[in-house]
Amino acid sequence: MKRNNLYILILSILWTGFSLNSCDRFEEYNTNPDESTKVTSAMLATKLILGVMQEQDVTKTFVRDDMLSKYIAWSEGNDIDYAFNKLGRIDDYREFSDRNMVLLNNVQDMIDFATTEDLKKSYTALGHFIRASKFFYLTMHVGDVPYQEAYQGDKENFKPKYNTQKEVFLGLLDELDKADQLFRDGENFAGDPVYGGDVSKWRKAANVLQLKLLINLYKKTGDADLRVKERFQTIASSRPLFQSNADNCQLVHADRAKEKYPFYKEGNNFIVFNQVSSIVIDTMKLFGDRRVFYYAKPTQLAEEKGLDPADWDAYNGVDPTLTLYEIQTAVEGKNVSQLNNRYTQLPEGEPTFHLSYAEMNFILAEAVARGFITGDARSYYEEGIRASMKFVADNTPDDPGYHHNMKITDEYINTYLQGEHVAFASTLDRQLRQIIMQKYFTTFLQTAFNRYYEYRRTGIPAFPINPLSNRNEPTDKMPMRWMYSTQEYSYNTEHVNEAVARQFGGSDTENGIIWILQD
Amino acid sequence: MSGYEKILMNTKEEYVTRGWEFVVDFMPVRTREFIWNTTVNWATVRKYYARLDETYSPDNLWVYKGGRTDHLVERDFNYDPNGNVILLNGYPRLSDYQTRIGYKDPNWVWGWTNTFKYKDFTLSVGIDGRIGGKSNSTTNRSMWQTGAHPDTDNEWRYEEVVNGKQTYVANGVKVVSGSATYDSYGRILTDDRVYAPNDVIVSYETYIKDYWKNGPQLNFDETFIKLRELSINYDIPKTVTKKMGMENASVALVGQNLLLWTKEYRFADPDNVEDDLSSPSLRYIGVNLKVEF
Repeated sequence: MKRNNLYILILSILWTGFSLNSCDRFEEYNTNPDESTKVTSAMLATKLILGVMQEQDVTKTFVRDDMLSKYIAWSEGNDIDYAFNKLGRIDDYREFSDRNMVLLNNVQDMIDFATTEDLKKSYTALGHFIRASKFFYLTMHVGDVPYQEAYQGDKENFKPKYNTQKEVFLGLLDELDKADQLFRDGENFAGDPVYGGDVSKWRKAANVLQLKLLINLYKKTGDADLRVKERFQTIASSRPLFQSNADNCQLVHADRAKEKYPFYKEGNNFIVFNQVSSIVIDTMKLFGDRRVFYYAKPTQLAEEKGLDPADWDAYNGVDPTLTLYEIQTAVEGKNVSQLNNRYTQLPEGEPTFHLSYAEMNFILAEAVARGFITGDARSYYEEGIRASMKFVADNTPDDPGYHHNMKITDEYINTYLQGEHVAFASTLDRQLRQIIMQKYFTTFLQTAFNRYYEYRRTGIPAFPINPLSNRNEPTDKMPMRWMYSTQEYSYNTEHVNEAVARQFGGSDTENGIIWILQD
Repeated sequence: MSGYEKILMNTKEEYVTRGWEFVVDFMPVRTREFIWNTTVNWATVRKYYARLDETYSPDNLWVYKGGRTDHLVERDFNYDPNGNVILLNGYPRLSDYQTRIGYKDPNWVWGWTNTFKYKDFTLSVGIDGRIGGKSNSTTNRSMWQTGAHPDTDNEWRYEEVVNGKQTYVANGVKVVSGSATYDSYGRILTDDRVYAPNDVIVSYETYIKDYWKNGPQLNFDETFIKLRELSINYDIPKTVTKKMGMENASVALVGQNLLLWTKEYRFADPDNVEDDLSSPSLRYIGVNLKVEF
């Protein structure tokens, strides 16, 4: 036995010797030559830009806001909250949870890592744009939010005070003004999937975003701090804005991993559940709008009967406010159109935009109609329609499988613009209805939640409210906001209670009217 | 909104763990050829909040000094004063507020082993179990939502699938008029609601899919009793082993995880902490051969 012990001892000494030896080149083995060890501003910029452009993630999450906006009905059964107007708390679903806002931590680092003074200006401006986009959505969702004291976690402020919505908007408008100046003085930067780092285009986007914020403030023109009309006039007359669809703040999709259209069929278990709503299809049929052929496809019944896909009658929508059972019955009756194949069968789909040239024109048309700026409301309105239709046509392959032989051409657009329901009206009330309705058609499956904000502020289109299917309480009303998250109540109690008390008298529900909607 | 999702730090929270454990070990029978040894143990352990941190402890109804730390928190349904579920248009409606619906830790855990030795044979039986405590069972939830659960095989489903008729009216009440307001913890401040029994006919399938999405019913009481170990051991007589050059030898038939009785838990083993579509637990039966030189 003793000899065995000796052998074991010798072996272990030798073994240890060997192991220690192999530690020599540890550093070399442990360093991955393909990975960078330093973070650059460009990398942070990409993440931040994508964080704004891809607010809605993919598949079902991508279309959830379209259920709320009544563009589509959903026949799955399980996910019936947004489809039936139950909004709940802001962090109930992944998109727009305030956890999503954590991304904005990187803004300061992105600015700090800039290598030249001019790049610093560009990245600072980009930071303002990103912050404005995210905070705009956040405050439009719930009302008052922390803004000035937000993002101070590293200074150990975990209980930020809530600013009033007006303070938030003032801050955001100011940030966008700064963005305009800084983009003007900055240089082109790297890491940008939207404009390739072209600061002249970003400058336009910052101004268009400010226009969007301003039109939402249309009830506050009397406020001396906000100076809504003055800002509108300054931007419309002296600042660079989008000139065409090529300036859209959009993500162009491609047939590469992670760049495909968010509702593309790959990995998408939810294609069967979407049904195009009758609000879209019936109104488009009434207007003679060929976009219906690009947004939807013929019903199964129409295909079985052999109807020509260019026939208006081949398309039929379902009322999204029916009870789920009635929707499912309608679907079983095969007389409901689903989304056009270009959304599900093409990896490129169509570009998804955050800000579009068409929408900008509608904002300007409304601003003229309301008397905020001077100009020709009709020409903005018509340009908006033209841009929207061109966007749809240009992003669809020339294949009857997608446009069903009802192509959108320049002559068609001209005829459309003279149609009974489309020709620009003469009374303000009718003009506004037309502008908002055309905006509705433009943001089909685009610009997350924008449609809901527009409905909330204008009531157009008049969504039917069905107390038998409405999950909001009271059932005869549409919800007006999301509730604050439970995280805020658990960890920032004093301030959230303060905000709820001053806005809604102490009651945090979906029916509270936020400041921006009040007269 | 501080810009951070989580912080990892030492807070001033303090926990205190208290419990009891009894172990009784005795030999009821002892003769020259037969020995019966039995051991029973019974224990309970609970963790309580001894001190909270003014800044970092969450502000809600279940975190308080002296409260248990193993609270199980879910969004519950809304109930009328008689405990009936409040339905909206025939479907359940979860509250916007979270409530503590139970505790995760067991009330008691216990074990009982018996060893019977007769001449060269030893029979060992080990039973143990727990009483109380709730956990989430995803297997059950998924079975309900996909219609694989045996309880979904009923007249309403039959009517709907075979005859195309909806007949399901859920148990509960509906609000006829009035509304309620809540404070930030979800406690009712004002309530002038008037109720009537629910009479809305809905699709059974849609109801079940919605009902089993979230809520307290996803959590089950974990009470169980398990036959943990049963073994029969035979010591081979020394006379035989010596002839084979061995000091000692024995052969045993061993079974583990043989039987399980549960009070409420179905289709999964509550012995694991939680059921997240977990695989079934395994039952072992084997032979043990021990040889000493």
